[in-house]
Amino acid sequence: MIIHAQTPVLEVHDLTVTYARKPVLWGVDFTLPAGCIAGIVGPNGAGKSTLLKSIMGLIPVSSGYVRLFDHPLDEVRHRVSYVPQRESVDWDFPVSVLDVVLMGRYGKVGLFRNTGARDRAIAQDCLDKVGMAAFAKRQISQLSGGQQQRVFLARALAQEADLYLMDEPFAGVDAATEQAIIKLLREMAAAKKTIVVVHHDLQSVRAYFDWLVLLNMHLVAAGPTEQVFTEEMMQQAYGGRLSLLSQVSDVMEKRAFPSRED
Amino acid sequence: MVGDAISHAVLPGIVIAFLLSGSRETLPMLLGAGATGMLATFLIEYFHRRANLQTDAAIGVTFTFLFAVGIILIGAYAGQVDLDQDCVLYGEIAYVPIDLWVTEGGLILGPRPVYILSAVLLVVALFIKIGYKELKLTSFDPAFASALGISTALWHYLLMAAVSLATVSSFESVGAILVIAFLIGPPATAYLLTHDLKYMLAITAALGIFIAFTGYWTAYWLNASIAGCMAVVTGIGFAAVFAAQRLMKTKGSPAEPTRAIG
Amino acid sequence: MQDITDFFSFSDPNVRYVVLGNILLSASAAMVGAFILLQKKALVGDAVSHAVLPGVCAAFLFSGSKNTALMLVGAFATGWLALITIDYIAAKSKIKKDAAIGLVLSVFFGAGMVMMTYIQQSGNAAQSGLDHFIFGNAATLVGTDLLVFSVLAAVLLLVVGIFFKAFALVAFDRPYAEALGYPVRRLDLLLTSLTVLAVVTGITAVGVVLMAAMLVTPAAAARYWTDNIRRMVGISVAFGVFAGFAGAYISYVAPAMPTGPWMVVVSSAIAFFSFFFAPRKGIVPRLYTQHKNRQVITEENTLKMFYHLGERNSHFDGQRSLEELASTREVNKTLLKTALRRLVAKGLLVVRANQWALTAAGYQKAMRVVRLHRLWELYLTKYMDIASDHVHDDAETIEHILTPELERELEHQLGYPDKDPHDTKIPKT
Repeated sequence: MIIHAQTPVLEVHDLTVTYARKPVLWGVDFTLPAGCIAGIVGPNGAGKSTLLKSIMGLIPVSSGYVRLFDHPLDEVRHRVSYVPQRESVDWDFPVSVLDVVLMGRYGKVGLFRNTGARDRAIAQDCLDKVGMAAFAKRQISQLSGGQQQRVFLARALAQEADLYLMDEPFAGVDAATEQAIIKLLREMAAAKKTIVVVHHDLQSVRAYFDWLVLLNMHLVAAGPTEQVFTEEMMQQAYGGRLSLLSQVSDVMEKRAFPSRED
Repeated sequence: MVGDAISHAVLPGIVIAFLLSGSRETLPMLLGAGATGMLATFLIEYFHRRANLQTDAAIGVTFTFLFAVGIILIGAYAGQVDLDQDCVLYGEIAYVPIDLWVTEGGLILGPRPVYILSAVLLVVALFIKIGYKELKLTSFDPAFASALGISTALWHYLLMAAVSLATVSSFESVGAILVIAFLIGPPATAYLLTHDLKYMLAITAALGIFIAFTGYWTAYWLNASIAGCMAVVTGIGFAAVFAAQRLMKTKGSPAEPTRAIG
Repeated sequence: MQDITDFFSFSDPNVRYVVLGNILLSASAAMVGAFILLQKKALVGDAVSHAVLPGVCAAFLFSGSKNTALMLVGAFATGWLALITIDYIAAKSKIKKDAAIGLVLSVFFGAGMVMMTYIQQSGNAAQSGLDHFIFGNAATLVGTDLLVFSVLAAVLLLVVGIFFKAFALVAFDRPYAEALGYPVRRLDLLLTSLTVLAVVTGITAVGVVLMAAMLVTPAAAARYWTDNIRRMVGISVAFGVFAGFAGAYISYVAPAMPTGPWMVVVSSAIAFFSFFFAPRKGIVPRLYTQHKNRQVITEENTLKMFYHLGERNSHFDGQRSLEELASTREVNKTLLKTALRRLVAKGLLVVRANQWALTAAGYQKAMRVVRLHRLWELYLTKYMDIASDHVHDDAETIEHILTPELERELEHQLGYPDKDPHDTKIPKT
């Protein structure tokens, strides 16, 4: 079941992604409306993070395309913010909390110029929004998991984007942080920002998201949560992988078949 | 470890430049060394990506091969050039004062390496000053950097070029292998001492100067290799800082805050 | 010619020593190296080989002569110390492993150089030959060295033989080995000791700087020829032995040529050859497979054109011209012509006066491709909820891949359907 948005902010069209010739996402096709909090949900290995990364152009796509605000990514990069998984970076890196948040301004500042007083003010303001204002001077190696996630969120806010793609922002954070983050996301959505969240915990799906993308190597369903989040759909998404699909994937990997004729 | 690989791999380039130009002109040597240094980086990438060779093996195979070629070239043309195996190992820092820069008019401007190394220092410092922001971001969070549209590959190669430059210019003075000690030792020590990247850079530079002085005096006192003594001092410095920190930690001093997990 | 016969007659005892010594040391190094490679510790091998230098020099300082046994002990001690230091730094601080390796390697080597220059300045007469340990000099090998080498090689062979299974398991799946109750830490230490031993064996002939290559390079090359670990160790040893032999020969024919570096160059050449040309895993065979696959795709697509034309005017054995074929889908004409030629050669098409027609076998094959295409389209719409106007592209790929087993399973899952999502007939054999 795919329910398309009327005027989409994000359009993913027939996206196929392969890792070392093994397809991990097959023909994913969906759209998202503006001002929604959308959850990307599916079992382990369903390709949720891969989907986010291919939207951001971080991994090459084999076929299909992505359009943001009805433009290709490169034309609207400044309007899109990406929040990687917390574990993907080295938290022993010698920078302060404010330094990390300032990184969100780098796209606006450009090469050869440094971040200025205004960027600093914005960064400080973003830290305030995530409840980390007091930690600005702290080194990142001294933060807890929840605090690290808040810093990442502040960095995303500092980008002043219109579309936010977040890879598992709730993984391994404390309950208070989770509540604080979701509250913030709601405020952002109210201000017509669109937020896409890769999510694991099915318990909170109905409470958190107003749009849902169900993934299991292929798109199972996409649409408003109340229509998509049904027993039948969840059964389809979590009821085991399509064995034929996995077998075809394996054959493609072993025989080094090109994913497209070229 | 790429620094290790580059410092070994520049040898054949230096020797070939030597044979072609027939003199110890700095420019051909820099060009030759830069060429094989880049060849090594390229081969490592190529074997890793194209032949699926594991990275450590790709590095190990490539640089030992290039180094062996360099040694063979030196052996083969030993009679014809004023470059021998000892020079490769120890460098000839002691001869720096002899290697004078004499103008056409016979004016003596002082030791040539001093000018060259000053120029290199200036270039490297300028590079870090200009690219500080980008270098910081691409090292800390490459995925986020790419999402902002900053090319991680470009900055990686620029950094490697800076490493090559520093390595090649030090080669004459301290030899191929000990360059690594100065490339890694001071920053590793500084990394233990501070959580702030700016301080880390400052401490690294200060340590470098300290090592040069103490290393020289130790060598003078022992009547042994200057470069070797500098490397040993580097090691002792690191060990001292490391041990002091371990000692403080086991005493349960609050100086090092425990890192929260999760 | 004289050189060759002289060399291979082994009448000169020096030649015998050098060749045998080289072979023993390369074989030992390559054998241990296979496990180092599989444990992804190639750079650790590099560190050990540099770090034995201070030990050798210390032994010399202590004894005042070139006492082989004592030097081995010294080398062993510092090689070991270096590895333990690396592990300790990486475990107890935020310094990453590769930085720790580089630091320890260069500082130990620096210490070795300080000692060596100190010895040289102190003017001890026996020091001549000590600097050979850096780049190695096979010509200095003598009978007693050979004896030591043989014993070391025998010990290495024996220990590796006994612990083969354990090493293999630890390299493949460390947590599982731990869960089985293998003493993983002690096995690590054992492999470390073997590494140091192998390096020590090599320093007289190859030198500390290049010994890392003799450990890792033959093993990396061997990895490309087999997936069987026993064979891999065997092939690695064979490559190492060949390199040792070649190095000895080259420096015999051209005495100015250093043995160690040539051994490294020869084994690197073997490795590069393997990276490019080893069957299945090499770069060239892989490109060839891809090329073949692409050919298969063009051929099958060409056959499909005949089928589609046949469907349009409902007779499948009609004669088709190049223009007619090209009208069915966007296609490069030269590619199409070569594909047609290949298909004629395979007996799937017949050609008469620039008109092509399907043979019976060609018809079967064309039908199967079309069938797979439509089955897959149906599968995509039915099981993956992809709209029927979005399934064509994907099916264009999959139709060339499905094996007969997958075809049967697909058909079964779809309940032996007659029509595809576009309501076109799915042909049946």
